[in-house]
Amino acid sequence: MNAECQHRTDADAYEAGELSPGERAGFEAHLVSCAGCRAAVESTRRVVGLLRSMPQVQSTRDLAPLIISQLRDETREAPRPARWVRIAAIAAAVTLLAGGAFMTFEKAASSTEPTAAVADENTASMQRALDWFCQNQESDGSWNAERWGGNRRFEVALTALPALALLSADPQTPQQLTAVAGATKWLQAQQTGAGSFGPEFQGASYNQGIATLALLHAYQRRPDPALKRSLDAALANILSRQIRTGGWGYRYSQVTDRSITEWHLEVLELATALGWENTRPSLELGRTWLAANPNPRTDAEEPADSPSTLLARAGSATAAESAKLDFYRAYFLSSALKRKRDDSSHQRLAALRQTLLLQQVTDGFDAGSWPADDRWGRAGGRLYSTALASLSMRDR
Amino acid sequence: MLMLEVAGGSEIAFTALVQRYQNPLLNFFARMGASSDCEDLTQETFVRIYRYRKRYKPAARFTTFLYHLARNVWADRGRKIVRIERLAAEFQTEVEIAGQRVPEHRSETADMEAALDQLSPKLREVIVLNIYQGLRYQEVADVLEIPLGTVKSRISLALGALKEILHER
Repeated sequence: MNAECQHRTDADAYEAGELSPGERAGFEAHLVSCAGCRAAVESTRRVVGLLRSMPQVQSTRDLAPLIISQLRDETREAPRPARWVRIAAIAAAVTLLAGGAFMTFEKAASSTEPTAAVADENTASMQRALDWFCQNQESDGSWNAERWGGNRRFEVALTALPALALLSADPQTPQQLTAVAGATKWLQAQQTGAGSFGPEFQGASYNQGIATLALLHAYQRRPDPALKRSLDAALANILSRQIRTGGWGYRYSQVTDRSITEWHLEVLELATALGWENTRPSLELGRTWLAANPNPRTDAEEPADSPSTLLARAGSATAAESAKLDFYRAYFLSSALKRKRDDSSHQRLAALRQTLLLQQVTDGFDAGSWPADDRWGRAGGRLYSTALASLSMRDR
Repeated sequence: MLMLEVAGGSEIAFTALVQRYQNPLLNFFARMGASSDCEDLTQETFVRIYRYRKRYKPAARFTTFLYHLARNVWADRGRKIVRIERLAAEFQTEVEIAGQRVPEHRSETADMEAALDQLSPKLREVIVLNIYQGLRYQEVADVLEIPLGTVKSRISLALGALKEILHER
């Protein structure tokens, strides 16, 4: 090799394809007359070939779960406000929720409308939840129940709930529209010939009610003939399963379940409002049953709903522990409070939302979601808690 | 695109990112000279990617961001374990070929590993990034935050050293 040649360093760049077209042409012209550089190019080629012939290292396992677990641990260990500050904040919200006065909300209590700042905070909270849903939707349009701590048999309901939360956004962002379209398509694909959704098991009634409700909301936003056919079948299935009492229950059971009945009535109310006429008799029958059976969960006047009662029940439990929400109850209670127009209901709704806000995750992978640490968390996981909490934050 | 989703907090995107880049990173650390701790270093790199996710600028190539952090992880490891005399040798000159030890007759793979071991860290990293990780010269320059010309000259020096070690000239 000609060590003295000024083009020597170009040999490696030439072999690596790093010379510009002009440089390359010039170097190739030089190669014709420089045996040293030709040898250098050839030598580089051999060495690079040898380097590349070394076997690649292949990992034997997926490192992602380990890393995510490590990051979660770090997030949990991250500094948070002092425990007494958090307890005081939650206790304050609890006090208000129980009907007590708290000066933070004095102004809000003077009006039946929330203050702009509070409304903004609620909207921002809901937006964070919707972002979390958009980020964690599967490519097929579903949300993976098991990934988020839920039971996979409820995957239909646990896809419909985020879809419902996304459908409540107004206006919807393009990302939210895409997420809803994906979820709608996935839900339709789960429908059987009998009009039901997902697997047949005891809790299938939840899948049926919540999926139908989500599809009705999607249809309300964007009427579509295929979606209507799907809804016709889903509604026929629901009507066929109404129990003689007027309510609905678990599959294979003739006992009316309040929660399942409430979902189904929400479905029939919307379907009737959207023009389905055959749903009206069932709706009336269901309403009659509901009126005859007072509801400790949804009746906003019912004392059993008040956290003060919870606190009394909890005995020695701390205020923070007692204030831990049952998201299911929060959803139904907020729906009931929203329908009322008096100051007291608005005040209680504000306090309920304040309690929810305090429990929303603000950092890390789960930012925007709510931990599913209530009694239904094992069935619904984080999808359930986040969907119902965010739906409790909406104004409509 | 994936990194933007990670920056937004998506766990699914982060999982996909880890799955896509864990082997390239394992190879990066293996070629840099790590042994049993390749996996730990790879994990640490992904942890940093997540921690620094909001600093990622979409204008930059993701691989630049990735290997910049990986190199920092490697440097931190070096600071912890490399002996003082080895550091001294590194700072002496990057042109100098360390040692005159001629490998005994072994397999080509073992020869190449031994040859890489004889390069100074600065020469070794340009070879690893360019030859093994497939980064173009400009990307190597971006990762190492050095001029393009320096990358070119270091690669020439490194290849020259390897040829010497392997009796290629």
